[in-house]
Amino acid sequence: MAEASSDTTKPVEPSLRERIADNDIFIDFKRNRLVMFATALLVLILGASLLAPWIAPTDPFDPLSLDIMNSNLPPVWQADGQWPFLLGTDDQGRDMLSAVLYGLRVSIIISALGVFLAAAIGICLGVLAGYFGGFLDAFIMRVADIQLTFPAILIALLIDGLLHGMLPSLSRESSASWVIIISIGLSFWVQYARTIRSSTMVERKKDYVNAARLFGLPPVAIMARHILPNVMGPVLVILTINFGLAIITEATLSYLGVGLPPMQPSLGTLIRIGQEFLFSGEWWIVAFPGIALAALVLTINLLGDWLRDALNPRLR
Amino acid sequence: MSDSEFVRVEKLNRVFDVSKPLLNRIIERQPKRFVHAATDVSFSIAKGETFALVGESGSGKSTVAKMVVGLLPATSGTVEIDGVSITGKHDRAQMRALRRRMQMIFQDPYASLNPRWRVANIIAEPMLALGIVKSKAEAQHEASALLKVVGLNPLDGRKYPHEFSGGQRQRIAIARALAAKAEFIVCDEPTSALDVSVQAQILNLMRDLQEQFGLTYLLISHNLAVVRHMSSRIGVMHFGKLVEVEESRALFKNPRQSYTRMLIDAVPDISAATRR
Repeated sequence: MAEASSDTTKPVEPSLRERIADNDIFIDFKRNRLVMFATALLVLILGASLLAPWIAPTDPFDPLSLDIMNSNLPPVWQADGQWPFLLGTDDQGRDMLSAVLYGLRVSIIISALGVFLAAAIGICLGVLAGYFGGFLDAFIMRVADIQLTFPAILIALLIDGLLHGMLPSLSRESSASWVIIISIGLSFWVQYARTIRSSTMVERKKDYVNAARLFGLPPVAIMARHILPNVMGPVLVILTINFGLAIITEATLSYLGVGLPPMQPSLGTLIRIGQEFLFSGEWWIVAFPGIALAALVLTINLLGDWLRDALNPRLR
Repeated sequence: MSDSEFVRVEKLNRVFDVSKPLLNRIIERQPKRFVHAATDVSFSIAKGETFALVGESGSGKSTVAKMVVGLLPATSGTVEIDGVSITGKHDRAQMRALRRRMQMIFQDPYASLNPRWRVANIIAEPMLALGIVKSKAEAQHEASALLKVVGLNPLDGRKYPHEFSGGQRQRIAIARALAAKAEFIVCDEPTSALDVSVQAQILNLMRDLQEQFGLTYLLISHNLAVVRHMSSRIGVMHFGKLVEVEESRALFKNPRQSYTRMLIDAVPDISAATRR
């Protein structure tokens, strides 16, 4: 039986380093300078913002560290610039570099939580709809269709209004971040649900699912253990692209005033505060948060686009 | 219950609703449409026997196979294994005991194994799900023993299904059926997706295992050569009806139904041409 006998020696597993070096995606990554640059910049931004409490020159949340004498200073390279306020200060004497680092941190954490919530909702509903089909499928997908007719901003305003209507004692400061996370979650889940549903419908007809049904695995176990690992492929790409969108949504909401309060400013809040000073010549208060936002979203989108192409074998 | 009726299928029917959606039916003024995939199919299989269902594509053989193992609910009719009906009401423990007795080997070995699972885990899963073994370690140990039984290397358990050929994958599927300690295995075209050179190896393995474990097979096939090699009795299906059930040798020598004769004559084989 030549066909049956595979090699009798223990298979030699390549080391992790060899496997990474051999990986098509890694080779493609090394060839693409733009993506390497974007990744490096993204890692720098993420690292700097997550380490903000340790590397920022001052703590913008601590009113005691603010000195009104330092207010409205331009960046250091300008004539009136003062050390250590590298990127200048705002009207309260807050160091802009620290504010941008903390703002990035708030934006990134809130957007990431929002996108993960969206993915969790979308994946669960998508697998349920695809596996059971019928009425449940029709119901979930029609809800998804209706959902798509509302922009994220409208949903956020609705949730914000509802929460404060139901819980009058809730302070805006403590609830703001959760309102944004839930709004992002509820407006971005549809894409995950649609993608996961269609691939689940393909997988559930395959015989490995029938085999699992034959030995009596309950539907939840079949969905979680058999179907989910086989449909998760596209999720990484959607996650990356949605992350960029979520950061913009969060900034928009904060800019409109539904988002985070000035006491714990995100990038959007900083831009909203900064634009008031644009006409009096203090451009740095709005420019640096804006540049940080643009750089963050651009690098994430570059990476997401590349990932989508790299993981799709048909495009190679 | 006599020994000749280990598996008994009684008046099995399956009707598929292939109507257009409600709105289209109203606009086009058309009634509901139904397809009778199986009509009053009855047969029984003795313990240790191989019973084959043959017929052309769309004759309802696979539908019957799926109903027999309970993957597809029957419109009407009963399936009994060892006197216990699988269509009747059972509590969890009874259902578990029933499921242990019957397993299925699927046509396409590329779709019947989860591509994300290691082979050892694929084989260990039914043992854990059906409570045959107590611990994961025991299941893994059993899995490597089963790999050896089906002629694979026990160390292959660490690999993924895509690292195997079609024939090797079908061996893994057989090992999974054995892992459930099944007595009755439904084989739905087990070799039709395989290379001709590998088909015989798999069929011989199935026969060896039948002798070793006293298995009972329901073999679904359109390949008369396979059926002749494997089975003691044959049922011929045509448009959802079982038109003839006969001992294997008698059927080939002297088919009573014209449809059966047509099937036998359709085999591109020199001896079949001279038999007339």
